[in-house]
Order: sequence, then structure tokens, then C-alpha cells
Amino acid sequence: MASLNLVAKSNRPSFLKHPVINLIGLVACICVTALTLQLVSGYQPMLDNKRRIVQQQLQQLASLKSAQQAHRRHQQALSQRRAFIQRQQQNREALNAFAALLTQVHHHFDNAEIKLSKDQLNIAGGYRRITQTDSLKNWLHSHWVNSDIKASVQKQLLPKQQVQLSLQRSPL
Amino acid sequence: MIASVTKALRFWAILFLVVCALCASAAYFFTKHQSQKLQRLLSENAQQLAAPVPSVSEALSPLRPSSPVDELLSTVAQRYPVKLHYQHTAPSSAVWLVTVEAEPQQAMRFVAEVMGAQYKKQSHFPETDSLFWEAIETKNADAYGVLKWQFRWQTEATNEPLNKPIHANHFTPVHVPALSCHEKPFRGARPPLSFSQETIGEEITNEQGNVVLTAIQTHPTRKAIFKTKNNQWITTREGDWLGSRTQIDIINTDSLNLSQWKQSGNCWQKHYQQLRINKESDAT
Repeated sequence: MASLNLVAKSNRPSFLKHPVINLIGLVACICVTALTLQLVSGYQPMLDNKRRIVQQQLQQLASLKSAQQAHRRHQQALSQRRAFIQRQQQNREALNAFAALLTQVHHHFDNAEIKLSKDQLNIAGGYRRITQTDSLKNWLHSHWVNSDIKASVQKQLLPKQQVQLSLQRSPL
Repeated sequence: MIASVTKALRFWAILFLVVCALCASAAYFFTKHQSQKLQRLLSENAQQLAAPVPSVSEALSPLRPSSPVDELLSTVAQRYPVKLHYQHTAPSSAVWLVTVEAEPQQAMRFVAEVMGAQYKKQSHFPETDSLFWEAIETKNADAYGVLKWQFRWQTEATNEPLNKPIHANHFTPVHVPALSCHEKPFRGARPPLSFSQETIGEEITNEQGNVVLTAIQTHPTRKAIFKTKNNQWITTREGDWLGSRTQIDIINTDSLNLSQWKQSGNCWQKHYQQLRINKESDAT
């Protein structure tokens, strides 16, 4: 046993053959490590506090986002409702315009025929005096030719005192 | 010996420095670095939280459900002197073609009322696709003709326009059921009611209800006896009114024939109902 120890001691590197220095070095390393651990653990409560605040903020953000989403949905619904009401309003206006046109046409023509679609308006009927056709054409110009319908009113006199007036809605 | 001591000191000095460096790095990572990371997160979140919380003003009032198109058209048509005929492309389609034969003003009023009935508050709206008027004859200098109104039965969510024009041959005709109108069931003002409540006629039953038919007398005069929930007895005869819509037509030995009246404009419609006496009721 004693011979084995002697062999081991003789094989050690020369700088480890000083126990006092070894001890001091080892203690110094352990102290530094311990100090570091103490520093880190002393810092943890502050970090935990920050983490708690971040958690609270995340909860607030989640509720803020849901409020924003609800607001966005409400805005979308509101604009959809406005568009729907506007379409209804436009339809009523178009209908009123058609009713006025119908009255005018029967005032001027016999056996009138009116076709109103999305892109054009055609009126046909029999007239007694040529001035009646001009009068209706002028009325159409003042009441129906607007920014939507850019083309002017086309008048075409047909045989047997028939007239055709047409308006083409410009493609938007 | 000195060389050996120097070597040992150098070794431990280097090892100490390495340990110090490692500890410093670890300490930095677990303290300053983490702290900075959290601080950055905190400020980012605070920035986002600084945005004002949008307030949702009062919720949109929901639109009322619309009655079916055919029902709406028939109801409105009863109020105008018009001949109505409507067509619908397919049950799933929203396109309708309505043909109204009338004087121009009446035809337009009819269309305007259908539109007005749906305006702003109903969930559907007839969006006009085309209007076609053709005069067919002149009655006493008044114009008369046919108005063809093609529309789409649009909801709030429908945005897409009609892609292609619809031709008449795409439609399957649907005829408006003929209305059978009766004479006004009473002259002048309404006769006095047997029951004070207006709608009591709808609550009459032969078993458990607000008003129960309890007995029938056929001799010497025909009478029907009702009992109200408040234990009040009411005796009625043929022709008496039970509420503003229900009239007793005939009193049989064990049943009553009732007429339920409905008024639409000048048209009085009549629906029959038979009410049998309950044999197990206390009056029998």
C-alpha cells in the first residue's frame, strides 16, 4: 500500500505537489462560485417582481385586444348597416324618379312603354305633336342626366308618329 | 523547488481567473440580462397599453325578421286595385319578378308600399333590378297598363350585385291565391261584445283556458254557456261576438261553429272553427 502511494505521489504534476497552494487555490475558486450564487439568488426577487408585472400587463393586453376586436366588429356591423340603409334609400329614390317619369310620359305620349334597367332607360310611345317629344327630352335631360348617366338623351322618330328616347348609363 | 512553486501559483492563478470569468458570465446572464429582457418587455407592453380602450357604443338594434315575399306582396295587394302576379326563379334564389296590372299611379303606390314596408327596420329589402311599364289600354282617358318589377330580396349581408340579367323564361310562375271576400259581418259600428276583452275569442277552449265552453242549451232557445277563469258565467246566442274577431255561427247539440274574421282593407276573410263541448267537464 505504502509503495503504491509513493508511486502515485511521484506521478503527480510538479505544480500540484504543494498542498498549501492547492488548498488556497481551491478555497478561492469555491468562494468566488459561492459569491456568484449569492449574488444571483439575491437578484431573483426583483426579477420575480418584474415577471409578475409582465403577467398582469399580458392580462390587461388580452382584455384590451378583445375590446378592440369587439369595437372593430361593431364598426363593421355599423358600416354594413349604413350601406344597407343607403341602398334602400337609393332604391326609394330610383323608384320615385321612375314614378315621376311614368307620370311625365303618360302626360306626353299615348301607349307608352318604359324600360329601366341597371344600365339603360328606354322610352317608346306615340306622339301627336313633335313638340311633345322635345318637351319630354328636355325633362329627361334635367331630371335624369346626372353624373351616373353621362350620355345625353337619344331621340329617334319612328314611322306612324312613334318616338323612342333612350339613355345609356356609362360603365363605372 | 522555486520553479515548481511558480508553476503551481501560475496554474491556480489561471484556474482562478477562468472560474471568475465563468462566474461573472453566469451572474450577468442570470441578473442583468434577464432584467433587461423583462424591462424591454415591460416597456413594450406599457406602450401597447397606452392605447385608449375603445368603447363600444350601444349595440346595433337587430333588424326584424321579414315576412315571406309572397305573403308581403299578397297583403299589400289587398289594399290596392291591382291585379298581381309574381314569379320566383327558384326557392333558393333571391330574384323575383312581380307583374302588376293597374293604373300607373296605383301600380307605383303598390311597389312603393312594398318597399316602404321593408324600409330601415326589416331584415330584407327588395332591391330593384329593373322596371318595365307598358300601357295596354286607356280607360276614360286614364292610363292603364302593366308594370313589371324585377327585384332581388336582399339581406344586410348580401353585397354582391347580380352577375347576369335574368330573362323571363328563367322564372317559374307562382299564382297569387284568389281571395274570397265576404260582406262586412255587421252594419255600422261593431255590435256589443259578449266578452269585454278584444282578443278573448282566441282564448276560448273546451278544456283548460281563460274561457271554457261548459254547457250548451238547445231548447227552448239555443244558448252556449261559458265559464271564465274568474268563475264568471256568460251566456251567448247564435250571432253573438266573442271578442272583436270571433262570432258564434251555429249552436249544435254538442258543439259550436265559430267564425274567425280577419279584415284586410275592404276585404273580410272568414275562417271556420268548431268547438266541441268536453263531456268530462263539470257542466255535463
